[in-house]
Amino acid sequence: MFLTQKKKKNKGQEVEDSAALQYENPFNNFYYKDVAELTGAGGWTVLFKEKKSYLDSQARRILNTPEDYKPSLRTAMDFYADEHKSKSAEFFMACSMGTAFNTTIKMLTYDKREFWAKAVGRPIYDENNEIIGIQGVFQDIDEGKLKEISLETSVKVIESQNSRLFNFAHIVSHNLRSHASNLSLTLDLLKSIDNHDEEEELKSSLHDISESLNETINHLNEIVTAQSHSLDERRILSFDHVLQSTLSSISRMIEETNTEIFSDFSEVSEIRYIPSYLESIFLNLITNAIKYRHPDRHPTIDIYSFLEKDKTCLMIKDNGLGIDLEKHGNNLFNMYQTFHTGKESVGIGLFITKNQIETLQGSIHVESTVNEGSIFKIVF
Amino acid sequence: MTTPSTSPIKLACIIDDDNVYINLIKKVINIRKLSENLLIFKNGKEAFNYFAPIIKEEDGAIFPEIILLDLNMPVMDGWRFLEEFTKIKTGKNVKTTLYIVSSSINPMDLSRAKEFSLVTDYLIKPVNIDQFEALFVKNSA
Repeated sequence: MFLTQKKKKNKGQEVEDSAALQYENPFNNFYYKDVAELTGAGGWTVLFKEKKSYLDSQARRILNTPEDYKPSLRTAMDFYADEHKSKSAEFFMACSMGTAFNTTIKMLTYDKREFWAKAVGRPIYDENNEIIGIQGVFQDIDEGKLKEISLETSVKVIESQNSRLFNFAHIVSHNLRSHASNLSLTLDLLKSIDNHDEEEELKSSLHDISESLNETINHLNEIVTAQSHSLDERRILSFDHVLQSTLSSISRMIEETNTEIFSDFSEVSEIRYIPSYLESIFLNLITNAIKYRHPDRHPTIDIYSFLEKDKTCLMIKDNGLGIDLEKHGNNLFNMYQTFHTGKESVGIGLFITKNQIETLQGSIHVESTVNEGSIFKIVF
Repeated sequence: MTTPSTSPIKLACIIDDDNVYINLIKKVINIRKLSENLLIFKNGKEAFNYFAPIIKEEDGAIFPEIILLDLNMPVMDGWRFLEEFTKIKTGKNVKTTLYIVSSSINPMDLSRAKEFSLVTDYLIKPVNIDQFEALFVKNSA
């Protein structure tokens, strides 16, 4: 049943409907209805001359329209999600000029529920080969599409976790090997030395090796604990509150370096997040900004939150040394990558930060100019 | 080829950020009398900054006959050092033998090292005293 408005009250009405019906073989009516029901596909027709729009019963069911709803070309756009309105308008225009379409688009029901739809449309021609209207079918594929999107996201997250795990394993093996190799070289030397002072010196290097080994293990431990949180631990957090508590934990470092910190969370003041992750994000990025400050000026750090494409974002901007991203861009978030000399450079902070952000499906980006500073942007 | 000699080489160079390792190598070199002098740099950049003017001006300053290069280092790692060093060394008459000495057993690193004609060999730590001695003796041959 393509047209539910089929009435035989007056002659004019019947002519109108038969125009829409001309491509529908009455013989197939029964068959069509079954197919529509089976596939969950709804049909629509727009006739230009008559200025009439039609929705079949499946379309009405999918769009959840009231029973007495009268479709019209003017309100047709109401059924497309805001971000896809212009896309759908283009398809309609092209179709009315003779180009059929076949697309996947985000639609809206009458009661404004978004859903993904597969939609096809084509022009209707009269016997003189003039386009007199357009018609098409759309199918609610929301469930499948959402699964597809979430699968794609999972694949990306897994891919990046995998590559970080690889990096992690590589570093673990590398660092443990360094200590092991120093240990064996020390023992090798101990065997070939008969001087007492030299022997004492080598013994003290054994002590150093054992300390470094412990340090490495602590770092690995830190990374493992940093990641062993679950989504259940997410709470509504105030950016300002978490920032203030982070700052108080490093108040000495801030005072000693005369660091000025400005924050503005007026655009987005809260976020649902794992508390320890947000603290660690603030802590790592702020302490980095202070550690890699420019020697000629006091560190200034600007922190603010904002919305972009419906997502909460956080920006942390400093006036420090900056990083040459052309040289180091790929390695920036890898473990044990340090770009500046200094005792405080360990090279696990950004690795942990990136891991935590990505665990919660976010992303972190960096812009930087050497000698001017760096901007870290987190999309939650 | 001259006849093999056990006399120590004049100058060797180590580029490595691991203090413990550097101290141990120093001892090995002293005990076995492998080199008269030793240059030590904590990362690629320090080494590069030292070598660049010497190579540029070909001023005849003594150049290390042997360089032991680590890969993972802060600021400028071993790879970047190799890239930069290759750039300035090309066409200049500088004779040195460079070994990578790293803890990395990553096959990617080993194959990457082969791409540098500058690299004579890739040694995986731990390298024991005799192996070190062999490197120096081979070089002074």
